[in-house]
Amino acid sequence: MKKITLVSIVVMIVVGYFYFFQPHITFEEVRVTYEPEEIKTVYVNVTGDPLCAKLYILDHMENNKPVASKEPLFLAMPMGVSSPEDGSLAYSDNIFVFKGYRYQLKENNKLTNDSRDLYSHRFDVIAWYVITPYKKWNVKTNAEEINEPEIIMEPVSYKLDNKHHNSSQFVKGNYVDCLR
Amino acid sequence: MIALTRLILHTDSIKNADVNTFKNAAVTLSKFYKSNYVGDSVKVKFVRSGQEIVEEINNVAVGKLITLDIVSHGNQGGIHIARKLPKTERPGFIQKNAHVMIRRHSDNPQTEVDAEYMEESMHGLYSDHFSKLGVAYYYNQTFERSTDINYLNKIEFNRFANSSVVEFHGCRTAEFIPGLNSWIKDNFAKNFSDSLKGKGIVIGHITNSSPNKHPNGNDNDYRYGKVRIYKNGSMTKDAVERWGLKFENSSTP
Repeated sequence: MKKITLVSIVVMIVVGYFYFFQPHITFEEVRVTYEPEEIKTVYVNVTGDPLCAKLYILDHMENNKPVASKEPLFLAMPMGVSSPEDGSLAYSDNIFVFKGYRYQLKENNKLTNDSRDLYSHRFDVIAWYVITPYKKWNVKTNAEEINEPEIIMEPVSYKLDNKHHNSSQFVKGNYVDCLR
Repeated sequence: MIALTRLILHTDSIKNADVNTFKNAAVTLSKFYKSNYVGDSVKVKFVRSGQEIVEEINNVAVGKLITLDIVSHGNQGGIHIARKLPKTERPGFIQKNAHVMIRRHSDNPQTEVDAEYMEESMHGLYSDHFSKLGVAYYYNQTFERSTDINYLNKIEFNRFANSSVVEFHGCRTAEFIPGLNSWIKDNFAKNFSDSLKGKGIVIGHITNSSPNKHPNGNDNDYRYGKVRIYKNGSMTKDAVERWGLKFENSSTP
């Protein structure tokens, strides 16, 4: 009786492990575009987590204000180049245009050898610019004052000099989609 | 006679934009308290770690802390503060696999490559070691050399006044996940309320929050969205809209 109970428990644990954790399924990201494309995004001030994605694909404009879609962009910047999400231009409703390569997520099943394509948010950035006018953080040192933004007209952009755009040259940030 | 203290803590973050946003929300609260509770001592403080949060609370005179507002990132495990590591590090075998497997059923499954390196370290205030571990595995972050992480049991809850109000403005500190919260570990707001006992109420968000969508048009205010409210460890309001709710002694009396 004891033996049967023990075997049943082990079977349940193994089944539970495969059901919940699916160790036989792996994911990999592969580029889907070989020619760079342009994507227009809007900076969304979602502060749920330190790793929240901030740039969402621009859906449309409403009363001159950008409306974000629910699709984030997980930027992979060239090695050593910082993302505009980290700088002083990271302000709500600023519109950034990125040029680069999209990806697809491939789900592979090691048991059945099946594979299926899923949407990936990764985007390798080879150039970007911010649409003017844009808002820039004006940081006050006084702890009792609100940091109001400045309105700036001066263009800001970035372009990768290197003409080789292999995946390995780009570093994807550790992102979470906080709008879902 | 010592005045009642209204402590507003805004925290550090990886992104400067978040640091600025948290500060702005803290200043908004401070202005409100100063104009509505004349005579109380309003203290706004930037904190970089769970250790500093605990120190600020424990520095208040016994029985004088009437409101505590923490404007920060958050999750089920606690007040989450993370910083970029100067150099990426490889996670251990268990953490690497746990990270991939926990995210398996999410909208954003992780690849083996994604989990290869840890990019951030943790520095927040968590319910306990187990909660911290869960956060570390979910986000693939390291805590091993972070000496400034702290836990709820280090807070001296006798600092709080009777009828005090604690509000976590960050995300998901009161989120309820069936299974996890019913059998394994309560959320941070519930755990905080357990320790605060009957002295006051604890308010926590159940979803992610963005300050710039507030119905009052203020870009610097997190007091809207779905929240849960606890008193003496029991839930008194479940998934209610924060905007419009009033509580004695609070920033929305």
